[in-house]
Amino acid sequence: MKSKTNIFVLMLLAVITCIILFPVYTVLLNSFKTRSEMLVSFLAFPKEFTFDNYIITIQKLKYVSRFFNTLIVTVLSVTGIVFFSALAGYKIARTQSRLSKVLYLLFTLSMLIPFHSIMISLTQISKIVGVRNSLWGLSIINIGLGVNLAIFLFTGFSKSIPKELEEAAAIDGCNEFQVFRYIAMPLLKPIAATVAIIDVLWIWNDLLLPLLMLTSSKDFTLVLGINQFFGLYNSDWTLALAGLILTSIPAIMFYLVFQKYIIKGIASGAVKE
Amino acid sequence: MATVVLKDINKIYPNGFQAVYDTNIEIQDKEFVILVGPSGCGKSTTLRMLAGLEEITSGDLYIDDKRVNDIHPKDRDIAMVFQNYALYPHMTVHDNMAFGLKMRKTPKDIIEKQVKEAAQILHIESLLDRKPKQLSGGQRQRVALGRAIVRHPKVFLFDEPLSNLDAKLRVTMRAEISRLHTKLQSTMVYVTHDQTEAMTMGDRIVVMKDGFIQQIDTPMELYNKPNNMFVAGFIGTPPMNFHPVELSGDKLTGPGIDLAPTSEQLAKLKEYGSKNIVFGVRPEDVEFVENPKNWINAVIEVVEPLGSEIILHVRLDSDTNMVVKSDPMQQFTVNQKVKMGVKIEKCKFFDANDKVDATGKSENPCII
Ligand SMILES: Nc1ncnc2c1ncn2[C@@H]1O[C@H](COP(=O)(O)OP(=O)(O)OP(=O)(O)O)[C@@H](O)[C@H]1O
Ligand SMILES: [Mg+2]
Repeated sequence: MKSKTNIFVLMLLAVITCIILFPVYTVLLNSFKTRSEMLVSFLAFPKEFTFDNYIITIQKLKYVSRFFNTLIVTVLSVTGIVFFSALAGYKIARTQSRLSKVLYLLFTLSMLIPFHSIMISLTQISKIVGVRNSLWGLSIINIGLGVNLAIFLFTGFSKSIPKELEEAAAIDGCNEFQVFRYIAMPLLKPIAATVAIIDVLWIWNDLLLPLLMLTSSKDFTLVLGINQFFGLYNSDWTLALAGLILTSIPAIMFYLVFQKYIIKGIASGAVKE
Repeated sequence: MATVVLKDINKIYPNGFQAVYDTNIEIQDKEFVILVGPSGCGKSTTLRMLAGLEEITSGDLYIDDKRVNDIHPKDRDIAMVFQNYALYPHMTVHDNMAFGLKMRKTPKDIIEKQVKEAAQILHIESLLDRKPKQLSGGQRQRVALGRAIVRHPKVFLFDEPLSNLDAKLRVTMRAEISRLHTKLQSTMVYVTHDQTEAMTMGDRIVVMKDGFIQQIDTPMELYNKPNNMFVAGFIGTPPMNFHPVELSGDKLTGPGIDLAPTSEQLAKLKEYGSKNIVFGVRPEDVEFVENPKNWINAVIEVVEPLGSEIILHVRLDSDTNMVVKSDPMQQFTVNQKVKMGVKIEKCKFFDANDKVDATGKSENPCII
């Protein structure tokens, strides 16, 4: 009985995995074909593997400089999101005032607003306050857009930290910030890792916001650069696909390294179960 | 090293609930003081005010003659052991113990020396590299103690530190904390709801109920001279038996009871004037002897042989019950009729009027 359901679940998972991986597979496959071969036989295995697409893409995409552009935006944004949300979420969780409840509500409610409904006014405002056309400006907006989910997660997680730990730390000689720094933050690490992973994947791969914010080609991120392969009259499909693969590799590597930091129940053993 | 003085301390929580009323306690240097009382009586609240974890609504708290009401916990030079240990889960045992010293910028070599010393005292040297979750409950408790003693604080605060341990370990740790007190010679305040812990460990005991202090005394004084019925019933196991009686002539009579108090007792009772009296007798103040002077007739309902003694649950002539102790040499059977001798000079008499006055203290005061 049990093994039957197991087999069923396994098959279901296999099917779902295939469906999800199929586009990735075609991207990978076609990134090794010449343009004409791709147009003729999209699904077939390449007759001969060519790395030309990759070599050309690395040059045309200005891969190295745009890699660093993307890296700067991602690091600035994610660091900012984690830092500010951890502080805010922790403080909200530890403050029993009406103001903190209202703030929490505002942050969480803002998750319901779709990005597309604010993107025009966001672009205008960013121009007025002078954060458009710069990587740090884009990062600031990313932080603003990212903190709501992160604060939601940090607040919830902070509440699960036993209060006695912080009281013990206060007696051991910590002021409020040191309690956060030495006790709360280390215990919030798993949720910080979760937030970082979610946001790295989002910001690294984001197209729309960089498209609105960055106009000068020297500031372009990788995804924005790939977008340029699609011109008005012709599109360099194979180059774009190779570019996509090259863009995803760092993100995937990041995920593989950091996923192990999402450990459940690290606070166990602090207080009696 | 340190005295602690609580002066007229009140605690009202933000929701308006008053947990502690007009508390006055003077704790001497090197004294081991126990706060004891039933659940919700305000023991933890009092302790947390000492620690600075809870604001004091009114009154003054002095540590070594310095008013510390508005001083942050970290600057009070105290250590606290929590009921659930509150060990830092992300730090090793060593780092847990060293943390307080590190925060106080103690030089490294001194930290190492003190951690080692504390670990030796508590026999946890072999656990220093482990994380809290790799420890058993008793080991965690030791580490929590270690974290407290490593800093040599002025005052130790304990909030029911043994209540998560099994009965056997509790007895061991009880003795260990007592030894620790002798060794460290520092002021300790210890919260428990277990009267055995209170009696065995404390130099003095503060008995609390509903936020009011009922009595502050040494264990033997509490046992022999309780202020009121609550204290008399709280101290001692099995607890004291209470029976409503009336003073008629020179006799105390009640359902199944007909006793002649000593002349001293009689004088006090007559002087007090109240006719309605509660008579209290401890299980150990009943004896099974030939021709007792004062006695109560009873029928045995349950026999609990404990080896060193026998506990008897008996029914008096009416439907009142009592719990009494007997020495283990005697033979008892269920439904046996017995004539229990009462050591009347050891008995206590309380005012049956249980009205609480404004101080909350004179609930069933002890007459003699
Ligand atoms: N933060 C709070 N807000 C309001 N009331 C509280 C708060 N903390 C405790 N109380 C109340 O104050 C009273 C005393 O609580 P306290 O924790 O001091 O009891 P305790 O004597 O330690 O009991 P226990 O043996 O169960 O630990 C209780 O009635 C409790 O409900
Ligand atoms: Mg308590």
